[in-house]
Amino acid sequence: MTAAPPASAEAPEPLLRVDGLSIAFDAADGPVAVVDRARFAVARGEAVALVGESGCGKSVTAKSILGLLPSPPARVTGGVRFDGVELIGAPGRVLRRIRGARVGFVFQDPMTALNPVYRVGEQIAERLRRHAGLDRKAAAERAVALLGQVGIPAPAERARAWPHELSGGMRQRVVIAIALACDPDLLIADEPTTALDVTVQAQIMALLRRAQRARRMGLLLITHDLGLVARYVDRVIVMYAGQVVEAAPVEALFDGACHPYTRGLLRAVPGAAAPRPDGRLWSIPGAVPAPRDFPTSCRFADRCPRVTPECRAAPVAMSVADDRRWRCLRPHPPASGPEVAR
Amino acid sequence: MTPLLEARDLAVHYPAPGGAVVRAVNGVDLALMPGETLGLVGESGCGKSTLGRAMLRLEPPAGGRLLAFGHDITDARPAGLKALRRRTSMIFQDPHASLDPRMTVGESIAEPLRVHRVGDRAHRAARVAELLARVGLTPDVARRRPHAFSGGQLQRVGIARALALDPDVVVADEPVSALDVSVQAGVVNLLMDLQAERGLAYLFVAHDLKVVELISHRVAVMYLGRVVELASAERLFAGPKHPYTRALLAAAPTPDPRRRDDPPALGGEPPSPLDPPSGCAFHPRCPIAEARCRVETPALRVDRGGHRVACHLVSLDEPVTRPPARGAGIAGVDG
Ligand SMILES: Nc1ncnc2c1ncn2[C@@H]1O[C@H](COP(=O)(O)OP(=O)(O)OP(=O)(O)O)[C@@H](O)[C@H]1O
Ligand SMILES: Nc1ncnc2c1ncn2[C@@H]1O[C@H](COP(=O)(O)OP(=O)(O)OP(=O)(O)O)[C@@H](O)[C@H]1O
Ligand code: SF4
Ligand code: SF4
Ligand SMILES: [Mg+2]
Ligand SMILES: [Mg+2]
Repeated sequence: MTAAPPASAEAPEPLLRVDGLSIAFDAADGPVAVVDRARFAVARGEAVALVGESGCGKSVTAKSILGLLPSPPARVTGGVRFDGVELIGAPGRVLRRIRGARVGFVFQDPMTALNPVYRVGEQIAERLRRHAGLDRKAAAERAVALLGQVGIPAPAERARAWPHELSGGMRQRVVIAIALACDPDLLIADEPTTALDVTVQAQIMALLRRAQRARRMGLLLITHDLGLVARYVDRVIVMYAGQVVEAAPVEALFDGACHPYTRGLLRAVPGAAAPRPDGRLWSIPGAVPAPRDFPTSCRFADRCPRVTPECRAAPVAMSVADDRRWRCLRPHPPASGPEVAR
Repeated sequence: MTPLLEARDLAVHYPAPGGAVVRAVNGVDLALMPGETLGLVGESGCGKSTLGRAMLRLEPPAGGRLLAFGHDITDARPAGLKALRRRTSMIFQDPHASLDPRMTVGESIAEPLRVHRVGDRAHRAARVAELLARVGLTPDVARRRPHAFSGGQLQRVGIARALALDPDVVVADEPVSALDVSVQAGVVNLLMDLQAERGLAYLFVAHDLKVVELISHRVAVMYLGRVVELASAERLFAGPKHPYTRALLAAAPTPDPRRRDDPPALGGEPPSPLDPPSGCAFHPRCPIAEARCRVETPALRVDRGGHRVACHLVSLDEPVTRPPARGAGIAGVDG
């Protein structure tokens, strides 16, 4: 029998599928490629973390999904399918509808996401009027309720505050309230809790988890907080210098990461590994190369404790086994424990 | 030893709609000593950034006194603040908002040098390159404008700028929360190295309690505009006494994917600084509150080991105990 398996046996189309996504920025001396053929997916109800070194391309990846990178200077190629609809190259009208109503977005920098000349309650209400069709009064009431849900004290009064009158963490929660206003199917949250203390952070994450369970909301969480990753997500995508270098279920990753970069990252978590003898934290020596200087071979080679000459010889392809992927010629064996090889 | 900066019963108010006032800082006594790192933690909106800015007189005090290097500067005019501006600097919580989008980052880093007339153009350019290298950025980024940086890169620019004048005091407001853990480790190590080399003092605001524990000599915990607990980092993390501090420490997530239960949340509503609760501001959320907590505001009391706490019911000289394991029904955290 050579017939293809029936369609129903195939894995269902995930809510979000990013495939071969590349991003470059025009510069005076030609385009600079900052993201190289990223691939990952987020299923309904699933929480996926995107982690990696500062500047590795997490935020531009997230923004490009919704067509939020101004072009020029950005050049975005590849595929992004949301609920079966291709978004790269889709008309602005389609993108705007999806952005407002079906995909919520929390920007890394809450101050630029808020309009300084509108009171925060109005900014939430505006979203509700435009995308959920609420009338003025209902929208205003729901805005106050949302501010309460994200833990803003005295929400009715705070709805009348200007963005600059709020603390950093309060602004961040206003942005989260806007993103959740229309009950999105997918939430893309870029460092949503960095400005929050751990008790408020726990409250926000519990709110997101409830939305995930009740409405099967997908979550793409960009964060540096590996404690948060461990506690709240199902799968982790690790990026380094514009490439996905490892992807794994969260438990497998914390039990034993394959990629040396991931290992170095996990060891740098304060309190996770035995401290350095001089009382300092473990960091990864060296710095990420500038995008213009990305080598065609392994981009981590100059900082890698396991580097061999082959690592510098040719591009390193992604290896796949079970539900894990890694881009490394000398990976750590998956379950060899959290110790880092010297 | 004279403190570098000292707040005495300091208050900072903001106007709110309808003629109300936000008492963002409400009677704080705090001294920053030479060469130390004083950690400052507390709930979002409790007044940490305001206190940090006020310690550098970037916010006008509404009450109390402020001293810098032993001089009362509460009412000083800009001319009287020269030494303060020259010897102190601030790393702001939001680097996007604190760097001028029209300047290149090299110009932003050199600006304090220019304002204080340090060196000539060539000297300043060399200093900018040196500072960028210290925070792990390449010198060529000096020509770029803020919009072309990632969040973490911009935060490091803010750090380089704060170090430009070789200050004695840096108020660092969430300096590492935008950084990934390996870059964070590099920056934390850099701050500690600078302190070891040059005796720099830090007022260090952060939400990552592990980082605070590592870098701080002493830690102050704020709740709704007041300091409710202050102790050496060892004592505070080994034996938090205030019910709020206990709840805070219990909520910190651990990097262990097998502990996926929601952490014990702090019960009740966060208080509003527009309408602060009577007595102890924590009483509506405190599991051990008694009648007097609703009426009397607890003062900061100090025990033999120098551990300060503002709570009627904490006995000061009880032996220091380790906090119970996370989630194990810690007083005050099950709501
Ligand atoms: N508008 C732009 N023009 C040119 N380069 C840019 C622009 N925006 C971002 N970049 C570059 O793209 C790369 C990726 O940036 P991105 O903001 O995605 O990093 P990130 O992974 O989110 O980092 P962080 O953790 O610090 O937020 C960086 O090298 C950055 O300098
Ligand atoms: N310019 C302002 N005008 C009016 N109110 C303000 C202003 N700045 C701060 N506030 C209020 O003062 C209080 C303390 O704010 P602050 O920014 O100091 O808090 P924080 O402890 O730093 O919080 P976070 O951890 O969220 O950064 C908050 O209630 C805030 O809304
Ligand atoms: S391919 Fe080689 S240099 Fe690159 S991460 Fe793996 S071992 Fe290190
Ligand atoms: S004074 Fe009373 S309400 Fe306040 S923390 Fe102590 S026990 Fe709780
Ligand atoms: Mg980013
Ligand atoms: Mg703040």
